[in-house]
Parts: sequence; structure tokens; C-alpha cells
Amino acid sequence: MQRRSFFHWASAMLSGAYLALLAVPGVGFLTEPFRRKSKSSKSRKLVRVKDLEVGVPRRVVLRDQRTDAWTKYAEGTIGAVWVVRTGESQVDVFSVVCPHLGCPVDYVAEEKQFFCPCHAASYAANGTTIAGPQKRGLDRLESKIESVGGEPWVSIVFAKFEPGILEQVPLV
Amino acid sequence: MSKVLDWLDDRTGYRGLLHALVLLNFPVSKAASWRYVWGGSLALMFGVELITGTLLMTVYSPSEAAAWGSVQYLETQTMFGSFVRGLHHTTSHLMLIGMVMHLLIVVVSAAYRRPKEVTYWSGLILASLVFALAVTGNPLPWDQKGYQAYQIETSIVGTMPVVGPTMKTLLIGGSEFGSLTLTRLYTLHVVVLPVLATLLLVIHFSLVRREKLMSNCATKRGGDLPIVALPQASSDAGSLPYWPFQTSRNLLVFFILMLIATGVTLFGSRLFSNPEGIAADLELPPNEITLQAPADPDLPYLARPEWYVRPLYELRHMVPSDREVLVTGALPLVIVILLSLVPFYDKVVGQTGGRGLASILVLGLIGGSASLLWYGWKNDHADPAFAKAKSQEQALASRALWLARENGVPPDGPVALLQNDPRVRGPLVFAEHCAGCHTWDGHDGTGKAKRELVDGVERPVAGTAPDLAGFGGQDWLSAFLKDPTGPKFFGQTDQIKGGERIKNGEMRKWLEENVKPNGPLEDRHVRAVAALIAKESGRGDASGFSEEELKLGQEVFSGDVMNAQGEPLEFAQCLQCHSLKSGDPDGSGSGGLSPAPELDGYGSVAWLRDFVRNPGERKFYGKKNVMPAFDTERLSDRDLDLLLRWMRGEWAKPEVQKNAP
Repeated sequence: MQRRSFFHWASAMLSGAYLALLAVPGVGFLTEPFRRKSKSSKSRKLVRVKDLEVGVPRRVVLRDQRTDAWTKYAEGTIGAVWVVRTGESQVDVFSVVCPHLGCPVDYVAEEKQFFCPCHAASYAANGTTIAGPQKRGLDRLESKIESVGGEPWVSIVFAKFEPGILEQVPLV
Repeated sequence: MSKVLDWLDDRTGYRGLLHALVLLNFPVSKAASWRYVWGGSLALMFGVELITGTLLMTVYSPSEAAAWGSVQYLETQTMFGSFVRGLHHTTSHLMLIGMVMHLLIVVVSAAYRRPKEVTYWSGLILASLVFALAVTGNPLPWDQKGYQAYQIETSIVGTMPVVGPTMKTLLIGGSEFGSLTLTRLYTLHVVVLPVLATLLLVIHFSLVRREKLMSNCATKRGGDLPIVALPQASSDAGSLPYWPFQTSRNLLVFFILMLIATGVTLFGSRLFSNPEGIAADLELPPNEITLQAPADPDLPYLARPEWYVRPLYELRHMVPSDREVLVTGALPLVIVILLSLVPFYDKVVGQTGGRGLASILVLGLIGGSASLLWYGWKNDHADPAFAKAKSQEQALASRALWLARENGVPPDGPVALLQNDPRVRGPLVFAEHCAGCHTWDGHDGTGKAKRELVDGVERPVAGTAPDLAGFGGQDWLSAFLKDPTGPKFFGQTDQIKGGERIKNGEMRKWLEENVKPNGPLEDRHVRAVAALIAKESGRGDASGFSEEELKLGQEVFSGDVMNAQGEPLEFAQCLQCHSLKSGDPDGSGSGGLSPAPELDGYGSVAWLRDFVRNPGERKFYGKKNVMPAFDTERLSDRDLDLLLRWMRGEWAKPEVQKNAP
């Protein structure tokens, strides 16, 4: 190998190493969010069944401690859900987050519809799409009726979902 | 002096650098001067953004807990803070307009032709960077407007095919908004994009300068660029040097634009422009509301994008949902590609045709965007719900800003300002828990009227339980005593199971038998007894009754009223059913014929709290009660307290209520 081509080769290698020195930690640094642990799926009691009127959706706010990066917040609102009692001991629980692009969904009592004011998405009381740009109906949360202290309560596993897509994919 | 400078130039070549940097050393054609003002003005405006932006960085703090508060601080405490932020904001909008003008003139005068293709493309990239700077700057205050807009923008990124979800996670630093969202956004806005833009600007300038020198100075291609001594008297009569002829025109246009920016900053309302939406009882005058309420997904907000993305927003509403990505992803991509290919149009359709096509493309984009923008604004302004939402948002913004001014922002973050405020939280609690039966001045507390569809026509309906606006005050009580079965009180209560007994109960009978026209009691008697009971509430508006009126009230309550002739009036006293120490000092009426609510402390916080927790208690409605009990499982102490303080009008307010014009 000639002296000149050795130096060609050496500077190419060293430049590569220089780039790798910056690129590898850089990419790792920025992709930290992809390696977070998934959240716990604990069951939370929401509301007593007797406090719900059949067919009248109730908005229930969830309060809990929340950790955001390095901050652990004191108890505060972590989300909200619509609870619809559909029968004596049957309930539907929907996320209030519009599956279109994530605005909060209202309930319009006169029309018995859920309505998102951001892009005019509307849903029936059972969560199915009536009209609008959304690709799926309201996100249904896993719910069951449990007895707490002798009284039936609605409890759910709270989650948030990726908006804008066809499938209901929970956010990690 | 000049010797020193000559020496310095000899060693550093600074003159050449300076001239190159500020584009001074090439002649321009005399006739074209005014057409080329946009490039120079845009560069000057970019300088304004860099300097005002750096100033803002000295106060702004990119964290969820501090962002809103730091912007509020710089708006109110920092000298010229509001001006600097306003200038930064308005100039960014003017730059977007300026870039469109620049592009239009470049295309119409075919300034993209050989050898200027790369100059043209570097300009397009610069324009996208400025656009990205505007989009990333908007959410930084972490107020409702920026937060909700960024929420939607990042959701749109997430819907892009293949790379969408990954890009979204990278952008917001996780799956949900948090502190990392702000730090990433901030890094993009203050380092990544400005550095790229500065780099591109230098490239764009050097390309422009190179081309001017090549074409105007007849330099050989490939030769070194000449350093032209300045100011240079041109030998060509049709040509003048850039400095000072073009420079002064650029500066003049720049200053006109700055005058507009300053005017908008100082006198314009940057947030709420619809006059019909201005609420009357704001804590702050509208021009001081320069920031919206802190980002809180729990508060109602009607998100509308900034004007520069509004056309796409409108267009998106016009396509079916499964084609949405055509508008949010494919259309912008197609526009960018069509604009990038402009230099090649000539090759395909000839010089005249190419220029015409490019001009039609740009004019079409401007015209199309403007009509979509106009269409969207027209629709919003014709919509009373929009005006109402905006006026509510304005009230929340004004409230939050005023509270922050009075009490400072708590270390946990600005969201607590409104969440712990009776005026804001009270109506929301009322709407959630009470408005199923009760009304507040005819609506649900938040301003939404209770309505029902009757034969296809919407009409307001009364609640099945009393309207509680003014509850416990003298006016509310006397209105109730004069008409307990009116639509504002127990008129619809018989629709509830068991409510018949309340609607047609003792109070109704008492009214029919004891108050004029059928009984002896007059209006002043009713008002006096209402004053006596209202005093129990301790409400701010239930004080200052005259001794005389209270005495008369007590006489009515306990039944010792004389008429003008000094004869005692015959009527059923209140103490037969109700107990009230101030109305019945000797306690002669205790026991009562029929159980009725105790009136000691009526309408006070303690009375109301006990009542809401258990209205069926013996001291309230007893067995007649039809109102559900709200225990702590159903309604937290905190929410109940905020509700009651709101109902009683007890929230912090400015000393002198400023009346907006």
C-alpha cells in the first residue's frame, strides 16, 4: 500500500468513526421514548351503578397520580370517560378522546349523540360512527361491574388510544 | 482611521466579506429596483426574529409547569416584554406573507431560469423552514390555542403512512404530551430550524450574488469573483449599485412592514378578533388578553388552526374520512413537487408556456388558499356557537391571566389556577351533577341552554327542579314565596316521581291563603321575610338590610303584624312549619305542624353542604325529599366546595370591575 492511499484510507476510516461517535449516541438519545415500559393496567372503580340513569351518558373524570418524565405529579386529572348505562347491570364505557384527532367529545342530549366540535365527528350513544371524518367509532374501554362494599360499581382498565387510524391501538 | 481599516482589510479581507454578506457589491438594473424589495425585507425580518427570539429565550422556560407562567411574566413584568413577543409573533406572520409575494414575483418574472434553478430551490427550502418555525413556535406558550393546535398537528403526523407513528413519537418524546414534548419543540424552534435557516439564507444569498456578478459584471465563468470597490459609479447608465439604491428601497419596505407589525402588536387584539364574542364582564381589557388559558384538556376548547394551515383544514372537511391523508399528506407533497419542478416547465412546454404555467400554479395556489380561508372564516362567523365558544375561551383566558397577576402561578403549574377557581370550576360541576334537574338562569351553568326538540323545533325547557341562580338571596326568596309553582321553581317538579307532594305542598297552600289577593300579606311583607331569611346565608349581596325591614320580617315570621289601623293581621305564620332563631327568638314555634326545612343558616355554605350531602335528612325535606343525595363518592369535597362558592358568588374579583366597551 502506498503512503498516499494509506492516508486516504485512514482519513475515511477516522471520519467514519467521527460520524459514528456522534450519530450512535445521538440516535439512541432521541429514540428513548420507544423504549419506555408499558403502563400498568390496574382496574379503577369509576362510579356506582345506581348513580347512572339508563340511556343517559355521564362524564366521569379520573384522578390519579401521574408521572411525566422526571415529574411525579400530585393527584390530578388523568383523563375522562363517558359511561352509558344500557341496562340493569350493563354499561358501555367510552374514552372522551375523539378517535379522529384527539379532541374531547361532548354529548348532545337533544340529539342523543356524541359530538366532537373540532371536525364535526358524531357518534351514536352506543359509540358507533354517525357522520364525520373519523375512521373508527368511539374507543370502548374494558369495563365490568364489581361489588364494592356491597354496592355495584362500574370499574374499568383505563387507557388512551392512538387517534387517526382504523384500529384501536392503546398508547404505550 | 482609514489607514487602520485598510490594514485590517489587507489582513482579513473584511470588506469583501461584509459586501458579500449584505449583498452590496453588485449592480442592479435601475428599472427593477422595486420588484426586488421582498428578498431583502425578508432577510431583515429574519434578523428581527433572531433578535426578538433570543430576547424571549432569556425569560421563557420550556416545561409544562413553567411555560405558560413564564410567558405571562414576560407579557406583564418584563419591560417591553409584550412588545417584543408581539413583534416576534406578528413578524413571523408577515414573513409568511412576504415569502408568498417573493415567490410570486420570482415566478412571474421567470427568475427561476438557468442559471438560477438552485437559487430558486434554496428559496423553497427556506420557505418551508420559515413555515416550520411558525408551526413550532405557536405551541410554545403551552396555552389552549397552541396546545390544542399542536395536538392536532402531531396527530396528523401520526396518520402519515409508514413513518407516521414513529415520527410522532420522536416529535412529542413519547406517546402523550409531556415535558419532553416541550423540550423537543423548543430545541427545534430555537436551534435546529434557525441554524438550518441561517445556513440556507447564506447559501441563497451567495447564489444570488454569484449570479448577479456573473451576468452583470461580465466575469468569465469559472473565474474568481471580483471584489468590487464601493460605492461604485457604474459605467452602464441603465445600472446602479445595490448599495445604496436597492438597499434603501428594501429598508423602506421593511420599515413599512415593521410599522404594520408594531401597529398590530400595540393596538390589535392578537387573539380574539370577533367583536360579537367579547364577553362583558372580563377581568382584563381585551387587548391585554395576549395569551389563552393554560393548556388543560379538561376545559372546553374549539380548536381552529392558524390561517396558514386553515386552507388545508377546510379542504380536509370536504373529503371523505378514508381519503383524509390525500389532503394532509399527498396534497402538500404534490404542491411541493409541482413548485420544485417549475424550472423544468420551460423544457416541456416552451419558454412562454412554462412561465405561464408556473404563474398559473402560484396564482392558483394563492387564489385557492384565499378562497378556502375566506369560506372557513365566513362559516365560523355565521355560527353563533362559534362566537359563544370564543367568548367563553376569552373569559377563561382573562380569568387565568388575572389570577396569575394577583396570586402568581403555583409551582405545580398554571392548570391549578382555573381548576381551583370557583368561577370556572363551579359551573362545570353544576353542569355535570346538578343540571340534570336544576337550571342556572335557564342554562346548565356553562351557558348551554336546556333544550328539547318539540315537533322538530328546538325550544328551551325548564328544569324539573328550581333554577338556582341567586339562590338564598332576597330576590330569589321573594320570587319563590310569591310563585313557588312557577317554572323557575317547583313548576315541573311533579314530573319527578314523588315531586307532586312538593309542588302542591304546604308552601303553595300558604301562598294561596295568606298572600294578596286571597290573604292579608302584601309584597313588602314577603320581601321583608325574604330579607330576614336571606341574611342567614351570609351572602355578600344579602347584607345591609334596614333594621326596619328585618323587624318586619321577624314579625311576619312569627305572626305579629299590624295593619295601618293597628289591628293584628290574621295569617299562618312561618314558624308553624319552619324553625329560624332570628325569626322566632322565644322558640314558640318549635316542633311545627309539618316538617319543613330548617331555616337557620339557610343558603350558607354549611347549610348547603349538609343539604347536598343529604337532602332527605329530617331537618331538610325529610320523607318528602325527591333530590338524590350527593355523598363524597359521588361529589368530592373539593368539587362541592367550588360549586357552593360559585353559587354564592364567592370568587376573587378585581376591586373595580373593568367594563369592556
